[in-house]
Amino acid sequence: MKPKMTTGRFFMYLILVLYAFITLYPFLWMVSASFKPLREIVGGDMKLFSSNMSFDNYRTIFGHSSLFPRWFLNSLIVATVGTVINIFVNSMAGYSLSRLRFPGRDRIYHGLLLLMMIPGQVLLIPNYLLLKTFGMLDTYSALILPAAANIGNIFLMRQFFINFPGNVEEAAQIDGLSRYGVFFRIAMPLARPTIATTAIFGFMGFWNEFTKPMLYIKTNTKYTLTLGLQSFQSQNAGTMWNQVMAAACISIIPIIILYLIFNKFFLVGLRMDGEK
Amino acid sequence: MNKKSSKPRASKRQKAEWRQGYLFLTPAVLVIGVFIGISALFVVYLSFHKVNLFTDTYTFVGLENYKRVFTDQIAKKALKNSLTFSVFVVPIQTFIALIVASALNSNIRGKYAFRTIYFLPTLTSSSALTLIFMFMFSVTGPINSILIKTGVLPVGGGINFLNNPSYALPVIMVMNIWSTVPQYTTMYLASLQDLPASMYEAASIDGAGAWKKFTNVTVPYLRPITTYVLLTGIIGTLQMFDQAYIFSNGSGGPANSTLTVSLMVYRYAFGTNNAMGYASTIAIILAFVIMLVSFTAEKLNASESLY
Amino acid sequence: MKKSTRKFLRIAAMCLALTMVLSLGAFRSTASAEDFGGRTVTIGIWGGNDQETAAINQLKENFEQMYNCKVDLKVYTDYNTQIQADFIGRTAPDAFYVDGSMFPFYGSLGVMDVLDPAEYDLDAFYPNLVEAFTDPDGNVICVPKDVSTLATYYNIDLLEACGFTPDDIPDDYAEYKDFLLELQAKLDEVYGKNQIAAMTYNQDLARNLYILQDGNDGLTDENGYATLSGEGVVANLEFILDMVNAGVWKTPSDLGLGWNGEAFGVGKTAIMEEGNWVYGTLKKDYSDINFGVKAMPSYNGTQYSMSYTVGYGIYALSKNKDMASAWIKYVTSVDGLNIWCSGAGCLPPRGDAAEAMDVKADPVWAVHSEMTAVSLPWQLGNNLSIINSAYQNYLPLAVSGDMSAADMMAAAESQANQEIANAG
Repeated sequence: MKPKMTTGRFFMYLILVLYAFITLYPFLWMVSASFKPLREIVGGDMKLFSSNMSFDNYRTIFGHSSLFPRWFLNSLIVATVGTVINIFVNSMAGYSLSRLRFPGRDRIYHGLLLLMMIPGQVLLIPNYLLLKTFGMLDTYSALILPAAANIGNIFLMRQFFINFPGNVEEAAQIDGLSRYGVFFRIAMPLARPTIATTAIFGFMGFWNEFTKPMLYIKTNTKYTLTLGLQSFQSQNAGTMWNQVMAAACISIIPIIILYLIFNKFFLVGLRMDGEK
Repeated sequence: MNKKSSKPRASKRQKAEWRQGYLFLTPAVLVIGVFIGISALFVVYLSFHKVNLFTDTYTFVGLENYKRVFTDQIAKKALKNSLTFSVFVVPIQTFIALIVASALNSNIRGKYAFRTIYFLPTLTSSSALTLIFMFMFSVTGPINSILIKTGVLPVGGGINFLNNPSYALPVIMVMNIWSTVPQYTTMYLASLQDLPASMYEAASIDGAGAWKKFTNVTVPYLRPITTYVLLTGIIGTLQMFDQAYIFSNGSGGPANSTLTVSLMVYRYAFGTNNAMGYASTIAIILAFVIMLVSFTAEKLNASESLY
Repeated sequence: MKKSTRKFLRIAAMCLALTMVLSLGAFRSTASAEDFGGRTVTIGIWGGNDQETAAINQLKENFEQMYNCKVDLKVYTDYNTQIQADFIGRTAPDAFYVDGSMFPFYGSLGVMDVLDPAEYDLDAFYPNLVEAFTDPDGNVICVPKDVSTLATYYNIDLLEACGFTPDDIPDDYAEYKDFLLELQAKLDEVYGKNQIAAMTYNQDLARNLYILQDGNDGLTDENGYATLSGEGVVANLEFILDMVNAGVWKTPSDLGLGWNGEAFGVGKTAIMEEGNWVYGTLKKDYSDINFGVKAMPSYNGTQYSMSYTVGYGIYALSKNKDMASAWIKYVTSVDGLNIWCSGAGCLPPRGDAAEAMDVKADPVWAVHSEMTAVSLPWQLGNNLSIINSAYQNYLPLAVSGDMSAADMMAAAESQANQEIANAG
């Protein structure tokens, strides 16, 4: 059934296109700026194309250090391992907090939310001392383990599971699945769109994390990509915006690839009532 | 599965459910308890002390830090800024995300392209974003030239938005909304994948138009996600730090107009003040304020509290 | 074994040890290099541009060869946050950079060793820079490793297009207003109104300190509290405001740009006062700008500049103090400074090194070097960042006219002092 083009629909398209422009423009500008010389960027030129575009900025960045592939790999390891652990830990916790009943559940839930409310700036030093006590400084574990569970994502999974039809578990158990089977075979597959969402944002969280690697990682062969790219920033003489933009573009490529992989999960949800 | 069946003794089946509940929570609670819980307790401890972490000296001062916060005019101003920021940003970003997500989920052409386009901004690095906004709102930037061309401002009368106490915070608000909406839109979309089409069909049969379907089907269905969007929005905005820091170069200026509570916390903790105790106190009070606001918001969003 | 044999062995061993010690001592005095036996020393630095990185790597290589050891360069990206975490966690490098402006704070924490001035040849350094790293008890804690100073940069093409020559730029601030008004009028005439500024300035104590402080006894009292609201200081601020209100001083942000270097580099301002770090980027990123450099103007009859110096300190808990000390001695020697400063684009902190580097040969370096002796090091006691934040916070209100200069300084002072009291 093809919907008719009414005035309402026309305005909807107009707004969608307009909004797409507003929302996409700075992103495109960032990509375009990564090919421009510094002089042109600071001149405040908001155009997307220029006759002076080249790969110079990228060449400069890659020329900075031979450790690039290593940093890239480090980031990939940390982000992948971290995200996979997160998917299971957060979904299980979210499921438990929404679909299972047991004493103290709501207290735990509110406790977790409360911990989210403490601003991170004061936690930096205590965390640093804690990791030092555990002997975890300068290791990948320092980047993965403290972030192995994410309260925000547990919260999102919980909210998602709330919308689950109530009879799913019972029906599955009648079919002979155990409680644990219900979660891994039924609930998690059904939650694919949400899991894909938290996975990609979780991955981005690990990938873009700057403060933690900055404080916890000492050896330059263990740097993550974000930290490595940042270590070229001169403290004097203003920001080299051309290189900053190129660095930003380099670091988003893996996320775009991940998005394309996960794209079908975003778009095709398994409808519970079997419809498409 | 009856909620009221809280008998004095748990049945075997209930016990199995308890076991599963605790088991599923254990990894998360362990990680969070150790890495955030312990640190948080340490922060509480610090808030009752005058601290010099460099020399490891802690002097117990009781409630002195707390008393001081309540007479601290700068803290008051910072809290006011953070609250103002939150009051504007949270409803607007939630509303836009909700509308955009449901529009994208409706039967429109090119929805795949739109979804990807709307997702891409989440990838724009925050330093790039800040720079772009600084350009856009600079004296010679596009916003000013539009205002001058349309006659809102006189020629040559461009406003230095970033250096003007009345505009600095609103500019950061716009930037914040711009950067968070795509994230929340993506989350709403994920949940909408599971909205049974039969619910819309039922509404269509009842003769509901697009707007009616939105208010009567989509919004109620998305309520749990809205709770998430509201709560994390409140937490995020009241803890806003990066953008204020970059915009004001850490000063919170002009005239404290971009001084947020988190920025203040950071300055006390990492400036030359060496005042971790006072920083912790402000942080804890901020956490309580966030709790209060969240609680109120959850009440307003209500009816989902059954779970 | 017989007793006598054992005795003999003992004597022989002692003799052997003695010869070893003596020969080592002799070796030390002739070759002036110890053998650290492959140990590793960690040096905390912050990131620089390509040339700086190349220079520090050169130093590292030389040092490793001379002393048979390894140097680990720990690059800080957010120095103040990271080094504080390192001090608290007792994980700081063996030796590290200390910014002169932060020295009063870090120097007061007891995290660095007191140094013997004779051992580090400090007599050869500029006294105002050594003073910048001396604590209130008179102990020297860091050795200056370089210095940058402010000088006046002018765009020759812009000046000439307006019918001026660089010699027309006055040597005294007193004549600046009239000159800049003329220049601004010509710039408006030639390039259109509001296109190019006559001169940029910064709303930052790091740049305004020498003007504000002139004729006053500093901007802080003996307890570290801000004294911004004194009559003399306010009068000095009025001078700055007068220039701004006349429309001849603009901030880079007024021009839609990030900092002076960008404004000057894209030809949006004819004159700026900048540090020598801008020299490299002007040559590299903005090579079409035809510029010259001259000394800072004098204010109320006194020639000033600002200097920004960085030193090396030795971590009090370091297990490699011998190596840390050797590193500092090497990189602050005439040879070491020659490699560092000529590569990194900064000035040596000692006169003999400046001579050896022949800074006079380059007209830009010559001016910046000349400024070292008359400059005020950028320092403001323990509470520098609080006081500067408060100043930056309120200055826009005085500029816009929403507050009088006196009220604005009083507001900044009161905010700074409240913060200082809360922290203390």
